[in-house]
Amino acid sequence: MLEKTLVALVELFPEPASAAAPAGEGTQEAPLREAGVVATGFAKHGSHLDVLCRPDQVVAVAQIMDREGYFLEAISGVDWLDMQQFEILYDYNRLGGEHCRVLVRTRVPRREPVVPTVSHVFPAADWHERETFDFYGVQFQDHPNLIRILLPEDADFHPLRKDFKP
Amino acid sequence: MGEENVPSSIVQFAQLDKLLNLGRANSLWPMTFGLACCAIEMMCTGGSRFDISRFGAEVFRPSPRQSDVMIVAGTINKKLELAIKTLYDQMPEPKWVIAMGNCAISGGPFKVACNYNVVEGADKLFPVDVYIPGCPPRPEALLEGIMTLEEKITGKRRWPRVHPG
Repeated sequence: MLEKTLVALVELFPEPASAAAPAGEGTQEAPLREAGVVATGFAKHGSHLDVLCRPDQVVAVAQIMDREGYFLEAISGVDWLDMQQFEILYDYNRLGGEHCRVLVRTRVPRREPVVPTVSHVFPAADWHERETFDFYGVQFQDHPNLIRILLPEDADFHPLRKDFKP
Repeated sequence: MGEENVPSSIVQFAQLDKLLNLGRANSLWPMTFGLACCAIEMMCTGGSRFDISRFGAEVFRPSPRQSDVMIVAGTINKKLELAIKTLYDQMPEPKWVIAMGNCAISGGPFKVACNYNVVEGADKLFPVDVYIPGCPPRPEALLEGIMTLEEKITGKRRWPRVHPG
């Protein structure tokens, strides 16, 4: 299963040395990971595969995962303030047969965080993307109903950003 | 003008009032308002081991119009503020409020400098009669809170207070 998914995903990354995301502002302290699929130790990382892709590849990855029988567990965000980027994480899991968890990451610039929605592939993504929008301000294109979900509808702040002061 | 010693209303009851208050105290119908973790302890209190039915309070009413006491069990978020105020207003008199757990008393563990979404205590929204501290309070503590509310209503305590040591 692991190998099957790995092979299916690797199709998306034909050039081994492509850049991971639109160049972030700020200095790069750690070496940027190359885009692509990495097999990680489950006991240490909590996932069997770790995929770094461009924002526009997110829907293609979701379609591959759906075809391979995965379901979407969660969508979360990370605010890398020094690199001026948001990272969006998609957790995929699989029941029945061999256990395999896949983590898909994508980075977007902080000033204009725009990612296509995967809710047309996984309807469960609807609320997770609303939560990521609510707390980070990440805009999901073509989302059917991108409004706040946990904070009051008229809130004008995004609390989980690192530069948020209440 | 001499000083007049007006006894508090807890002591001066007419006989009918006394009877009515006894009836109200011994059949406090709570409104199900379990919001968070304290709701689990409230459910345990309704179960058979701790048995809130001994105090006449086993009928948790889903509608505020039929309930006497609102046990605010859990965290109040700013999104829920309007709803909980509406529910409190819909309860008919006489009504009481028990704030169960630290979140309902003062915001609890969420009362920090960077709090952005938690209302710091139910008493910011409406008057509270009994506060039950704990995170979450044990079922015995909720029963003690109900007994304290009964004492507030009738002036007499059902069972003597147990002092440690």
